[in-house]
Amino acid sequence: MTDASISGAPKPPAAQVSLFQRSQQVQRRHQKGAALRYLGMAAITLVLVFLGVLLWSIFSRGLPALWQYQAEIEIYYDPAILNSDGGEVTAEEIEGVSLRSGFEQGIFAVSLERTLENAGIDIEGTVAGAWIGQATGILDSAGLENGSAIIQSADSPTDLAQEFGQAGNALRAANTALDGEDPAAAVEALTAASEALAAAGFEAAAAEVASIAATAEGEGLEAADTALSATGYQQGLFDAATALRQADGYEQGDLLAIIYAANRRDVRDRVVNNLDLVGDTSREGVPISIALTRYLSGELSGVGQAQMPPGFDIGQLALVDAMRDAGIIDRNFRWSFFTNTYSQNGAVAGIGPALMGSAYMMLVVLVFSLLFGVAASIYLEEFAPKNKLTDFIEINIANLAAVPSIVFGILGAAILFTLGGLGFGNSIRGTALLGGIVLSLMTLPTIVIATRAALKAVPPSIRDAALGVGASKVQTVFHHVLPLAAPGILTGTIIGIAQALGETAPLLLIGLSVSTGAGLLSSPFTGGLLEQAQSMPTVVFLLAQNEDATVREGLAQSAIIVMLLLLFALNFLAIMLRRRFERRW
Amino acid sequence: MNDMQLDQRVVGSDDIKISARNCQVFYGDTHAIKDVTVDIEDKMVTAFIGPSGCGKSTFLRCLNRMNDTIESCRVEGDIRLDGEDIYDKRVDPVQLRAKVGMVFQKPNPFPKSIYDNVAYGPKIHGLARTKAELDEIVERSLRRAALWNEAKDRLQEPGTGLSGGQQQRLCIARAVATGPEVLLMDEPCSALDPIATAQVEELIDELRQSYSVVIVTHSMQQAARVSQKTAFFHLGNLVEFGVTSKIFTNPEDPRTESYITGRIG
Repeated sequence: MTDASISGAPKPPAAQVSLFQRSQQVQRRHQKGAALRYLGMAAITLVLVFLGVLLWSIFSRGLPALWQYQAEIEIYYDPAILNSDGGEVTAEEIEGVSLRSGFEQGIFAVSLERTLENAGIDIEGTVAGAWIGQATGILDSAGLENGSAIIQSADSPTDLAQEFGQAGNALRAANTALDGEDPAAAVEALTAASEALAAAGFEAAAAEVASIAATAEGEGLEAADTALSATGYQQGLFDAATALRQADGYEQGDLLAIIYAANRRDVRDRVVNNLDLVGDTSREGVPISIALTRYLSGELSGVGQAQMPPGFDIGQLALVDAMRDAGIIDRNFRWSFFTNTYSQNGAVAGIGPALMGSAYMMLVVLVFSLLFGVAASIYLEEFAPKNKLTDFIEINIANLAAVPSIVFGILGAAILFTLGGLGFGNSIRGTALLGGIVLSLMTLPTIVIATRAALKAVPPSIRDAALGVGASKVQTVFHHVLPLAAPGILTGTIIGIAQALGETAPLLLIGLSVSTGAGLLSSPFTGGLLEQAQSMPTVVFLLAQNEDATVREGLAQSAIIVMLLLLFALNFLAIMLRRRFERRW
Repeated sequence: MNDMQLDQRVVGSDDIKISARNCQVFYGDTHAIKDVTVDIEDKMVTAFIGPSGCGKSTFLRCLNRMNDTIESCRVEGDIRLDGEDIYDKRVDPVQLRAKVGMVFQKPNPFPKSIYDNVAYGPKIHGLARTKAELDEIVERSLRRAALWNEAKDRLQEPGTGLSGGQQQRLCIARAVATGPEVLLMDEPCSALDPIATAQVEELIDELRQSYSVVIVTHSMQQAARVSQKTAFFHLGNLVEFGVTSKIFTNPEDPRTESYITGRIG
């Protein structure tokens, strides 16, 4: 109360304010708080929307791509091809059989035809039917009535095509004549065209052309020209003729194109390994050509040029429809995706060796970075004297964690070239070991930082307690500090490994993909550390650049889904370990 | 406890367990302990009292070289345990700490079972060859810390699950398990309630039978209750050291008197 006596009389108390009435200051504070809350909610919503869009775009494309249309074919290992001399079957003999003429045409195509016939499909009839149907449609839309009756009564579509062609030519000649100056020649040409149409069976059209001839005489060439063009007979006839010519044009290759027959090499290997197959049959699920996927899934209707799967015609599509109706083509889960090796061809591309290679690299990363990372952190945190040198090291480790991954790739490439100079660069190029080491270097700083933070978080009272009962520094660290820091260390390690799993750039630089060749990428990875490996991110990278849209926007996402699931699994493991080892003090 | 009882208390033998001569401690440039000379007798409780920051804990930690873990800390002078210089180059602090046990201000059991807490010290010092021997040491230590009856049925439960007072007694059991000769206690009751404090104080009085106990305390009543000798520290200096009853009834130094009567500190 001394202050009060110095300043004179005490100030009168402020006017009484009800608690129910908010003062201006409180009002402002409330407004600020509410604004912050709404901003936070907006940020979270935005993040969730982005995440949702990402997951939706990946899963909506990637999941369907995990199902594949396959043709179930009864493959007949024809002794006439595999054992042409009729004697004892030998492996050398089979290896001598040409892949193209022997296996692809002799076995695959013949087996396919046989399978279709067994299912009651008339191959040539189906193809012819499709084209004839097309021709009928064209004639109808061109106003040439009676088309289907004419086609059905004809002996052969080819002959009919010729007749249609002649009629079309006559119409073209008439058209040319109408463009000229000579009315007599024009009338003559129109009459000839009318006769040709009548000969082909189109009575109504013939009458129409005859009436145009009358128009040419009466109202002049120009009016007749307009009338003739309006009919569209000429184009309709030519198009129908083209379609009809195809009706007879079935070739084995058309059927073979539907399935993916490139695994003929596998089939040959199978026969070489099991000579008893010769003369026998086996049921095989053979992938359908990737271009047909969008037709089979209903994305392309198959009507009109733009809706046609690239490289296929309606005859083949009719065969596909027939096969689907007969139950030969089925949609199956694509197990082969997880075992096959990477391929340019979407029908057989897989991520098997990539999964293996990534798993091996993760193992190398785990061993290297956990061992060295934890050792380095324990030394720096617990034993190293605090001086300029350790400060310098500390800053550099923090800096390393921020170094772009491609720089580590360059480092790996430098190692590679150095080893190449010593003469064994090729043996380590693109191997799981080199990939793992480069990824370890990248992961190391992350693990060191996480481990040091975990060690720092162990309360000093525990260290005191251990030292107090006479434990040495090393015993204190290994008996008490490290177990308490373990959950933090494990979390850091798993996050580091998850990061390494998705790293693409450094792997591209040390030859875990691409241009070095088909040989590398098609080789299965069996698990040697010094074996050329593939990795998940590089395969995703390759799939995403495939020339085929179905692969780019399907299989690439499927591979990403697999990677995401792996990452989720790793994170889940991290959480579980954390829960399991977490201790309170 | 009144002063009458203090006077009647038998002041123990004249065996000097620890003797410190002209001890100086520096934290970097700070001179934390200035020229302290003190003799700590065996089978006796010695209390260090003084205001916060006077250096009593620092000095206590010098006695088992716990200050070694603080990098900037430097100790000068001469501290002898049974006549041997504990700061000699040949002395392994690990061995020293087995002989000079320590109990800390905050109960700090390991996040392990009660059994493992007590057994850890004997294990790392190789005091037990068989499981049975270890069991025996654990039981003896827990009995000595007056915790056996409460803990015998829950030896495998985590030590952190005990109450504060029990945890502190567990820490005492852990400290005595290694068979020390000196027990250093750094404000062992400051985190405990009065009942737990009374239990620990009773325990300290019993421990006096076997060990030389040095206790740092903020509570003058506690010092008066449990100790036979008291040292008063002020601003890094040892102001007065003597028989507890004398310090509390008839201090020589005016600073001691001011502190005891509550005028400084």
